[in-house]
Amino acid sequence: MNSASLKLIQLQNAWSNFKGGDFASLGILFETHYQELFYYGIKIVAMPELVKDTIQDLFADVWERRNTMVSVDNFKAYLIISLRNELVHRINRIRKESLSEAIATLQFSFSPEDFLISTEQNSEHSRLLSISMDGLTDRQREVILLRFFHELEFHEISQVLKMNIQSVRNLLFRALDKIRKDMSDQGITGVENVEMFLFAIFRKKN
Amino acid sequence: MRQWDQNIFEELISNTQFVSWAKGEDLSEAEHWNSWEKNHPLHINEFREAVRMVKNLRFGAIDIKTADIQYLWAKTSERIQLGKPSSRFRQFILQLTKVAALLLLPVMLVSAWLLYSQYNLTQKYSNLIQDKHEQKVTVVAPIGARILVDLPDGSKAWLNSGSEITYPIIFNTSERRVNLTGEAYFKIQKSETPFYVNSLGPEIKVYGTEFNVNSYVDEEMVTIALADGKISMDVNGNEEFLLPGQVAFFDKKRSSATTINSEVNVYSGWREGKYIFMDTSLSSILRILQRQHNVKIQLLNPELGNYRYKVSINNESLEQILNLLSISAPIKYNYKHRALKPDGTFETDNIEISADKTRIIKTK
Repeated sequence: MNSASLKLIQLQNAWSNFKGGDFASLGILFETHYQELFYYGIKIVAMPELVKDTIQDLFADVWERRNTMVSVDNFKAYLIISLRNELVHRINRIRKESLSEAIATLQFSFSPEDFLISTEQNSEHSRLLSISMDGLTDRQREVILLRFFHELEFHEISQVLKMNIQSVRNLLFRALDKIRKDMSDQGITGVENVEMFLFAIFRKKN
Repeated sequence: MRQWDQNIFEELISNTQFVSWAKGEDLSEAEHWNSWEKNHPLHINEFREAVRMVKNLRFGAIDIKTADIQYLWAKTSERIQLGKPSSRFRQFILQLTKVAALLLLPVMLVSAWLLYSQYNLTQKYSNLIQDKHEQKVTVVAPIGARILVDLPDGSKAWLNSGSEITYPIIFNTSERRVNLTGEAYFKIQKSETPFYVNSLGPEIKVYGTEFNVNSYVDEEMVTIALADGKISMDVNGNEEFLLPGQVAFFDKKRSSATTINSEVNVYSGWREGKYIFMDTSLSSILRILQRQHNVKIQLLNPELGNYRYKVSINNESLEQILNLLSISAPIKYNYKHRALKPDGTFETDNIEISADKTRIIKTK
């Protein structure tokens, strides 16, 4: 048994104990999801304290509703949807009260530091990637985050973004096309592409 | 160059196990995907592109330490178990609401109180006014006295002796109305609201003027003399106007009015104690003297009452006047001074007038 499936089993145990009224199990769910939720939250609105408070309230709400929670499979999607709605709601309220439009939400902007650098990449790569991401729409950036970071399924993403599954797919793959194009224009190619290039030359010579 | 198969690329990206493996999170899948790559040489391009895409899009989430998350959970669980659903943000809003409520409370109380007292005051005032419309005042000028009455609207009424006037403490807005017995000289404040005088004679309607009304019970006539302005009388349902300088005599028995042009001073001089009699019967003069001086005058020979006098009295004493009357006609008088009654009070003085047989009666 590998560590990933062990984690999954632990999570499922925690879930069923939580459903049975075990408060400590809610703590396990909290600690499991906190990092992801916080990251998603500050991408919605760059106000860490507000995001922290909202996540705490979210789990208080989850505890109260433990009897109506259906399945662990949807739990992360549920948390993300709830967090997103609540944050947007609170931001609108703050805007109204302070009569200020200054607080920007749902921009999902990324800087080079947001991307992990693997051994074969360098910081220039991250910079170009963030520039390419800047050329996308807010929703395209969000769908990328939901798919690659949170690893939500398309049907879950469709609930978060309130659009149908086909539209979600189109949104994602159009964004990926653009990134692919941007990165190859910038000459970011892997070994595979060099091979392809040589192959192409070879074929032409033939 | 081989055709790019978008479907293969999309299929891989849509596979969550693939994404997990390509990110390097789930090593258990490594074998599966390595063999996939080997078994699909035609799609090696799409496969490698998908792997690269996933590797590119690895988000380096802010690394929150496990200890920090545990601390946050401790705080969250504390909040849940204390049943405090309030975040700092909500607490702030709650606090703000409390402060607002606290600030608003006295304002509301004060305004409620003001509104109530305002309403109360208005209510009380209108009740008061209503009462005052109904409450009447009667002012009496006793025999031998003259009184100046200030009416609620600023009008004035000089009451001659033995007269009384009744009026509301506050006139209502639709009309001003007084009741008069006896004689009064009115000086009415100009106003849109009509002023009515009810007496034994016709109802008098006034708009702002000066006039005299003589309406004693023991006089046959009600005399209305207009000094200035305009008044009208309701004579048997007809509105009859009086012009300045005109005097109306209303016969109470016949209920009919006659109007003449005359000197109004003759009718209003009493205010200064001035009486001007132009061709007036002795009995009329004696009635006035009785009222003015609070005496009883008896005509021992009733036919003497028909003597007519042309005389002017100006604040003279009663005996002076009686002398004057005796000189100009063959009459004499016997002044019986008042007697002390057993209860300690005095009777009114009694005067007897009789014919003076020693003097020749001049025929006119």
